[in-house]
Amino acid sequence: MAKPSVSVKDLGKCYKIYPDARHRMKEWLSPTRKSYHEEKWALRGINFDLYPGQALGIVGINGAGKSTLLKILTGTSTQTTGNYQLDGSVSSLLELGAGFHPEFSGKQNIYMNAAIQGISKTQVDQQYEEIAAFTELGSALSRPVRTYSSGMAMRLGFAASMLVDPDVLILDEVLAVGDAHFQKKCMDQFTTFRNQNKTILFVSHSVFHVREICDRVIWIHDGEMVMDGDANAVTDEYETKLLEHQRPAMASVDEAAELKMGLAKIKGFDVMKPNGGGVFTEQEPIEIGTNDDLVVRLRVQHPEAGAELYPMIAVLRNDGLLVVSTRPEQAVRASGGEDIVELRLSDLRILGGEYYFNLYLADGSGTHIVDQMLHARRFKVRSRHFEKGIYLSDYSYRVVDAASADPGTSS
Amino acid sequence: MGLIAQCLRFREMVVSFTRRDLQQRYVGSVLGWPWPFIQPLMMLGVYYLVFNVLLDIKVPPAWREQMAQRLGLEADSAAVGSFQVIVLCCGLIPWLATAEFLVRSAGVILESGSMVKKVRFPSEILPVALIGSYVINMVILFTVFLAFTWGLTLFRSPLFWLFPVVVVLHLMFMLGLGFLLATANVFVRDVGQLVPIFINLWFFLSPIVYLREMLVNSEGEPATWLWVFDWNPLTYLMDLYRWTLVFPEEIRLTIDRSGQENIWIEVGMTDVFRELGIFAAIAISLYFIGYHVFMANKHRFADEL
Repeated sequence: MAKPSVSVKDLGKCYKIYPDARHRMKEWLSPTRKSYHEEKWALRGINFDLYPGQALGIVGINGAGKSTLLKILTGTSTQTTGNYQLDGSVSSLLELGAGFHPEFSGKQNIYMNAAIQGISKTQVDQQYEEIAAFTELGSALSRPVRTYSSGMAMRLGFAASMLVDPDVLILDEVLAVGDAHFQKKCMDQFTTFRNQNKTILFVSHSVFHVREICDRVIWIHDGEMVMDGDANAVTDEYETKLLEHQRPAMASVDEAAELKMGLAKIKGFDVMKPNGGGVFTEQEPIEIGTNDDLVVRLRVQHPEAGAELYPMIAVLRNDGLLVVSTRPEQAVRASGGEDIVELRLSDLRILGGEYYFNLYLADGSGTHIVDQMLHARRFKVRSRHFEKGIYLSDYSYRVVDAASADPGTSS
Repeated sequence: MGLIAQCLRFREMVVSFTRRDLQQRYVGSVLGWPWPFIQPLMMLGVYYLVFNVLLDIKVPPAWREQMAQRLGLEADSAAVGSFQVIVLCCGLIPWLATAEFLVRSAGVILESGSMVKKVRFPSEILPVALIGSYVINMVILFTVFLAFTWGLTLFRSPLFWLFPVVVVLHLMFMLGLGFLLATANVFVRDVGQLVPIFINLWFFLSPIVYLREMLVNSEGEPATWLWVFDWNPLTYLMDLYRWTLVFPEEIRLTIDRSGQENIWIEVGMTDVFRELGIFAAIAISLYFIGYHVFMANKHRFADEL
């Protein structure tokens, strides 16, 4: 294989954390070299090679060390251990508007940004029209950047980072604020990039974007690499883990709520196979077709017999779009033991894609959630041949004879 | 000399940052671009009002008489009278640039914090770009000043050819200190609080709005603490600016070290080169120390912001 464009070896970063500024002074002045700081390893043992044409996604929860890694690769921060090599020119966009001056116009900022990156004015002059067109900001380019929305700033920042025509592009969570149209444009740009055999490093909280852009993903947790591999495999695993993290967190919230709410709890659930045939096991991937029923048997518990409960289900697409959320018309009365409530979404008219559902349990008021399972289970809806989108409507086509078309009547 | 190479490579950045700094001092104001130039002029006016009108600090009359005599003029002639103003401007113009630059340099890294953290660029450019905007100010004021004094043919220094050397040394001095302050303030923010106070003290302890020779006690003897000036680099800088800009060597005013009588003492070239040598040594070493300290620590800036 070719020479790697990014090569990272045993990279580590340790921050010294001082309780406040005085402790640093004390440490400097300490005759006994007493230590007044705590060490916090933000990154440890990061290893990977990235080859031209690859796009690497980095996922992980907040504080996992993703941004620290990008800062080191960008060169603004220095590693404590290990080393890295970057082959070719690098451009990075770690923060929207970093290096932008709010009082100056978009155009002036493009030039200034270029100057920071060591690009000559004549070179910017040549490319300016193209960049201006890419931002689609039009006359706004002559207005001060402080008047820009975050989406506009993102367009400007993204376009400016394209100026250098880098071999390696480093991006940190920059697509989040753009509108769908511009996001699409950026994604197309990334594809072009990769086709030109350039390398992308991309951090995002949007697993959707990571899957879309990257072919390889590294999952970082607590500064260490948990997984490195195929984008879909890693992000699937990451999402699953995220859900596991969320559940105990929910449970602890519940404990406080339990006292108040009378111990109502979701004990568990089963997803029924659409055409009879029992339940889906925990490991079994759920795949249904459009127009199938989604049947979830929810096991709820309330120690007080006769207490009112509202079990609810919401279906969401994997990017978080709410497809439908439901609420029963009438409360379920608890028996005092474990009750099984069947939630049935009949004739689910959603089209092919990845979805998941959330389960909620509300108290007698019907609005106060006392227990919930977010991302309770993922399921896939098989793609159909002709229809695209989310929702499947009944439809028909017919040829209407112009002569018999009578706008006055309808049938 | 890595800095010069870096500045050349990133010259567009230096230029645009300098311009940005000049611009942001007036952006949004009604008057606009003349502000960076009018402001120091107004400051000169304020200092003149306070020190020459209200406090009425005067060149001792005996000096004026002797100077007039020597120049073959009346002691109360306008030319001799303007001497006071010229001495004041000569010290204030470089001082204003120094003071403002040093105060701002302490904050230069913090001000550009988001950039230092998120953008890869040579941050040593920041103090250079900052000094640029004050140098432009200084040069413009000096041009106005020279146009004025050279019109008064009395105040033409035969040492003017040394003026550019003095300016370069002055810049190295400022930049060295600026690098040190910028670095220190990243790690100990208290520095930024102390700088304006220190600058104020420094102003009064330097022969800027007065001449050393004016500091006499009630008996007309030199003040006992004049030795302080020997340890103040600004003393040499101010001397050098005055010698190269206004004072013909033979009319440098000073008093007899025996302290009895005001007399003329001629400043020979040895005095000029002695002070030039001392200041050059200070400025050049400060520059290299400052630059070295900044470069050795800059990789830690992003983590501290």
